[in-house]
Amino acid sequence: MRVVIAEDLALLRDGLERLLRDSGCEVVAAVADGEALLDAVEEHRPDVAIVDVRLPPAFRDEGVRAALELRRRQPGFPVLILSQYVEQTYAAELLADGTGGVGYLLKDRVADVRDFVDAVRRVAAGGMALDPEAVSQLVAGHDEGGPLAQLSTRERSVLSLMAEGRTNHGIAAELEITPSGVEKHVASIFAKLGLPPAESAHRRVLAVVTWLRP
Amino acid sequence: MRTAAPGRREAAALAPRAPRVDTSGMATAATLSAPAPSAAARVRRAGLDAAYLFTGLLASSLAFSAWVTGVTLTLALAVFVVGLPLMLGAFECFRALADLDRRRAAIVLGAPIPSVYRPRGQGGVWNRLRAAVRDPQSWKDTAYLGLFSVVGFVWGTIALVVWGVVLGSIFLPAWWWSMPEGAEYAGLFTIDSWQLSAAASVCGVLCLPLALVLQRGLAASQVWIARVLLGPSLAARVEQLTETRAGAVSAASAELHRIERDLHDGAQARLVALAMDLGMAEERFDRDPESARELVGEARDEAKRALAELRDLARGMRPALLAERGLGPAIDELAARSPIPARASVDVPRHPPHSVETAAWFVVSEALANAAKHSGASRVTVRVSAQGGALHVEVADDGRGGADAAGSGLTGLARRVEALDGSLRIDSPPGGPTLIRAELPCGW
Repeated sequence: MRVVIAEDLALLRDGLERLLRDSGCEVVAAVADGEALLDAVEEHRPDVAIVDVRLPPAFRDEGVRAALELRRRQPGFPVLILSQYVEQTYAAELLADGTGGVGYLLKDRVADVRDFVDAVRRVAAGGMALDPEAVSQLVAGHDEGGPLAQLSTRERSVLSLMAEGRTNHGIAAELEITPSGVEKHVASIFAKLGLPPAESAHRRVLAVVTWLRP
Repeated sequence: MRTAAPGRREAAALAPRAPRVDTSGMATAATLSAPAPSAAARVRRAGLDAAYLFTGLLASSLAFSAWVTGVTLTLALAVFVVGLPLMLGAFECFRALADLDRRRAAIVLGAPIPSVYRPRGQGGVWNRLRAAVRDPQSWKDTAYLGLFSVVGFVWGTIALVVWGVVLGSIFLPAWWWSMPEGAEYAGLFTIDSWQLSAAASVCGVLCLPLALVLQRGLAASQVWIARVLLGPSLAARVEQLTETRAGAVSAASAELHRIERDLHDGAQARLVALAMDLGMAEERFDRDPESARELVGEARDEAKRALAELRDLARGMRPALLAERGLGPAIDELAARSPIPARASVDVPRHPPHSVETAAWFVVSEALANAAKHSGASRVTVRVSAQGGALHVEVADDGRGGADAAGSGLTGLARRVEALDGSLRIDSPPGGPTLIRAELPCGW
C-alpha cells in the first residue's frame, strides 16, 4: 500500500512514517502543508493520503480543505484525516459526496498500531473509519422528524459501529449478537433510510452519510 | 432533521477568507470633514431633527406618566416595606425608558448613547435594590426622565407649531385656490385675497431657514441633555472598568489555578506513571520479556489517557472548530450537538476579535448545556448578530425557567462577558421561558 502523509510537526510525521513502514506500508511522500500534499498526490498517485487538520500557513483547517480538494479532483480518493479533536462537521463534509474512502481519527488512535493500520487499509479500499468519539458526538445530538428517528436503539448502535468501519462480524462480536442478527438490522436500516439497492459497501457509506448530513 | 445550518454556512466554510474592508467609518469621516453640507444633507438633517423632536413628544408623554406614577408611589409607600420592591420596579422601568431614549438619540447622533450601569444585583429583591440604589446611573435616569417629561414635550410642541405655521403659510395659496369664493383664512392674520395668500407663502419660504435653525437648536439641546444624563460619565466609566478588571483578573487567576491542578493531577501524573512503566520494562527486557511487554502496553494506555486529558483541557481554553473555522460553524456545531433541538442563526458580517468570539461561544455552549440539564424545554433558539458595534448573543428556550443567575456556571459566564466590557442578562421567571442575552462590544 502506497501512502502520502501530510503533517506539519516533524516529530509526528517521522513517527507516522516509521510506524507505517514497520507495518509494511510504502510511504511515498511525507509533506508539511496542504499545497505540497496536492502536488505529492499528483506526482505519486498513492492509494491513500493521511492528513492532519491543522497545517500551515494559518493552522486552521487547511488539511480538511486540501482533502476536500483532493476528493474534488478525484472523487472517492481515499483520505484519512488525523486530528487532536474530532468535529462531526468535517466528517459530514468529507462524506458528503457519498463515495466512501474516508477516515477521520483522533491522533491518539495511532497508539493501537494494528487497529490504526487496519483503518488505513480499510480507507484505502474505499471503506470508512470514523473515530468512536465522532460517532458518540452524533449519538448525543438531537434528531427530530428525520428518517433516523425511525431507527430503533439497536439499529442506531449498529449504525454507529458501521460508521466506525466495522464489518458485520465485528459488529456481531461487539454487540454480542449473531452475524445473521446483524444482517437483519443492517437490512432494516437500509430500508428505513430508503437507500437504493447498491453494492453493500457503498450502501453502508450512504447510510452513514444520511446520518451525518446536517 | 438537524436544523442547525443556515444557508451561508457552506459558502463560509469553503471560500477563502478575504479580509473585509469596512468603508462605513471612512464615509462618516468624510461627511464630518466636508466644509459645507449639500442641499440633500440639509434636507436629511432637517428630517432627522424633526423625527427626533416628534418622537420626543411621544416619548416624553410616556416618560411623564411613568415618572409621576413611579416617583409618587415610591415616595408614598417608601415608609412601608412594599415601597421597596416598588422602588426597584420604578428603577427598572426608568432604565427601560432611558434605554429607549439612548436608542432614540441615534436618530440625531448616528449611534445610540452607550449606557454604563453597574452590574445588576443578583438574588433577592433586597440585593437587587441595593445595587440599583448604589448605581448613580439609576438616579441620573430618574433626573433625566423628570426633566425630559417637560423638555421633550415643550420642545416637540414648539417644533410642531413652527412647522405648522411655516408649511401652512407656504401652502396657503393652494388652500386659497381650493376654497370656494368668498372664504377667508383667519389665522394670526386675516387673509381675504389671492395676493395676500401669495404674500403669506413668500413669508413662509423666507421663514424656512429660521425654522430649520430653531429646530436644529431644539434637537441639539435635547440630545445634549440626554448625553449628559444618560451617557457614561468619566468617573462611572472608570469605576466600572476597575470593577470588571478586578473580576477579570480574579477569573483568570481562578482559571489558571484550575488548569494547573488539572495538569498536576492528570496528564503530569500519567506521564510519570508512563515513564516508570517504561523504565521498569527496560530493566525486565532481558530476564522477563513477557512482563516487559505487559508494562509497555500499560505505558501506552497511560499515554492515551494523558492525551485525552490534555485534549479536554485544551478544548476548554479555545474550542477547536472556533479556532479552525470561526464563530458561525462553531455555533452551528454546538446547536447540532445539543440534545434539545436547537436552531441557530449566526449573522455576523465581520470577524469579531478572538476574545469576543470565544466568549460568545461559551455563552451559547453554557446556555445550551443549562437548557439541556434543567429547563425541560422542547426547543432552543440561538441568535448571534452584529448590532451597533457589538456582538449580540441570544439563547431562548421554551422550558420551565427559574435559572439561577447566581449559580456557578452563569456567574462564571457573567464574569467572562464583563471582562470584555460586555453585559449578560438572564430572564428566567419561574414557569419560563428563559432568555439569556449577552452583548459584547467589538470595537468596530
